[in-house]
Amino acid sequence: MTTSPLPGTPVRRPRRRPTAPLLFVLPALLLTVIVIAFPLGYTLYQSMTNWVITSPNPPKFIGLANYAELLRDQRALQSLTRTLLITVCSVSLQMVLGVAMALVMNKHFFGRGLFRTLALFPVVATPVAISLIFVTMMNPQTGVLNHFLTSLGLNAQQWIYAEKSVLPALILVDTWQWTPFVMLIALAGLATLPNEPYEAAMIDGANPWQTFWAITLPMLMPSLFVALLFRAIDTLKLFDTIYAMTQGGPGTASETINLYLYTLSFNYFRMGYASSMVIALLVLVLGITLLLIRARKLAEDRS
Amino acid sequence: MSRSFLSLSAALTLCTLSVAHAEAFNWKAQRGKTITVSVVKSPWSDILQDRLGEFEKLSGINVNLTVLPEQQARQKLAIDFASGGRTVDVFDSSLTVEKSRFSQAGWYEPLNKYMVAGKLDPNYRFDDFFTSARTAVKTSEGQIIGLPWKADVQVLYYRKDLFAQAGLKAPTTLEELESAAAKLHVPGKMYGYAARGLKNANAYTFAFALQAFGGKWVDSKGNSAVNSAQAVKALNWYSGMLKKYAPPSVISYNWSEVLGLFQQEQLAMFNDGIGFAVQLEDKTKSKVAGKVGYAVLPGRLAPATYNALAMSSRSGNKDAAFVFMQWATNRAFDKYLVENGVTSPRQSSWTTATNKPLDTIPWAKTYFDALKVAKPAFPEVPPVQEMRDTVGIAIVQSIQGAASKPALDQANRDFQTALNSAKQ
Repeated sequence: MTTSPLPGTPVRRPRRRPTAPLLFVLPALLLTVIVIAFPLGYTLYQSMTNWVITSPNPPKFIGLANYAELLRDQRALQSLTRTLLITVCSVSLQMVLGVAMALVMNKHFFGRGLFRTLALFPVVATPVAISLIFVTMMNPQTGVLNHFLTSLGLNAQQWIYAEKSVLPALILVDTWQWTPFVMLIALAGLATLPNEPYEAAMIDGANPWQTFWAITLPMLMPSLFVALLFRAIDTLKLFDTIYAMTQGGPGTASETINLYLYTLSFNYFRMGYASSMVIALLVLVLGITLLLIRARKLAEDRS
Repeated sequence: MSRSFLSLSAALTLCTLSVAHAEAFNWKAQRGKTITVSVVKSPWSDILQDRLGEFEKLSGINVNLTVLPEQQARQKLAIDFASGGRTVDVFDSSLTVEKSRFSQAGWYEPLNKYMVAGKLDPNYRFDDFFTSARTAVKTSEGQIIGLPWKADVQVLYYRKDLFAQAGLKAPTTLEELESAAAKLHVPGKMYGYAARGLKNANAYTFAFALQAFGGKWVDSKGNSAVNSAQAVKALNWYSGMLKKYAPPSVISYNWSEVLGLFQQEQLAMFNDGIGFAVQLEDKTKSKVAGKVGYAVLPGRLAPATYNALAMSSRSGNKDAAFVFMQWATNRAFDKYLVENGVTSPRQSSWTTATNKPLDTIPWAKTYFDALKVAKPAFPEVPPVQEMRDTVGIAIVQSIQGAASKPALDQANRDFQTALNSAKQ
């Protein structure tokens, strides 16, 4: 039985496989393979060997043994906890302070341009230089921070020189350095907001606080999300500041995943094991990023 | 037929030549070659750099000298060797950290076959090195893996003037050391005693306490022994001393901070390598010059570390490399080192009648005495760095108030894991 297609329905044509588009994609594909897929695959392979640089024997394939060791490795688990703790604390502080700073800087006042420029200084300075300045300032005996505290009648602190205070001190430095970055993005977001909702709010008699919660913050969310994502990824990978300031110490009190990874590969030369940790870190960063993106989608759908 | 006859006669001629010229070593035999030498930045490397021209003139060998900070130099070498690199011919090796690991990996060129007539200057005198230094550059199979240039031993540094005021003598027992610290300790002004507290670095000064209580890093079977009863006692003593008499931030102190405190006249006593004596006696930099007393540590102990110039087994210029190595560790050069404050392991440099350094250098006698009783600060196992880290963490925890035993138990487990994985 043959039926002619109803008028209006698209006519099915045999599928053709054009080769030209594939050819155009090829360079990008090759580049991706060379720059990303190959190193990643190679690391994945290494993570399943017992390669130690200084071992006279060639690396042996040992399957998932490194990953099993990773799960039992107290030092690895502790450094992971620390990494997450630093990330959550410093990123939340930076978001709150950054938005607050942006709101202030968005007002018109004398010398606003100068303040905005000055505020950006920590973002453009080299992390190692900043670290060295803070190490000097945080010296318990000679540092200027303790001088301030004691002249205000407060107790002197050990800062990065005690297990209890080292993480807060590092979070302080990271927050000082990166809050202006959040401010910058929030300011850009604020500049794009429309005026009408504010006029409506004024007519309705909303106070500034209500205006902020009901209008500014929700409209600013997309920009803030970008800032959050950038900061979260960056802080998970934080290395230079901690290495320069404490090298993971005292003891291992400030040793994050990245620092432990560095020690494993370049002090202990255990490349195989270190590779398994690299893969674990990659999965972690990827997972958190995906979670954040998903959270944003949910929030958007709800509103 | 004729070819083999020729080579035989050539060999015979060479033999007679080498016998005939045994007295006059031919420094120019390898002229025209170029070698790469990698060293760690130190007062020694500065002197080497200054006098390199003399060697190039003498031998006609060109030297590319790379000078890097310790950590970077070590990483660069390991990665270079592991990837089969041939870029380095001669390198400065810290035997304490690298000997076992590099030997296992086969990165040292055994030098025995170079230390023969014809290749070695007859004036070189390997037997002139202190016994402990000669032991340190040999493997258990008797292979020589480097020519020593530094032997550093721990001694007790103390303030002679303060001790004299308080009517104290240099302590010879742990009890005397502690009571001296207690007597001289004025909180906030003058600390009685300090040593390294920083993770990893602290294991070196703790080695003294460990030896003093009869503890060992590894037992006779090569297993970790860092949680033995003696080690626990040693840690209790060490962390107790630092808690009571050292600055509160001592857990972040490496040698430089301890040295700084002493130089600023805020510290009465510390133990560390004798190599720092030069800086302390330098009147232009140190307030305490002339006030420093030196003593062999209580119990006549002297944890020691050694450095040597080693040859890469992958070097393509081995003969030229060896010419350089023997020049940089020969007696004349070594004497110059001693005169400039490097703690050299050659006996002759300390006893030459012409300059009598023993009388003119205030710490020389202590150094000499300490070398006689010197024992390696660390065991010869590949994971020395892991051991220093894990025990270092336990030391930090103990200084901060944790119990020594569980802290060392954890260190013992981690160190044993590292030992096991090094056997793979």
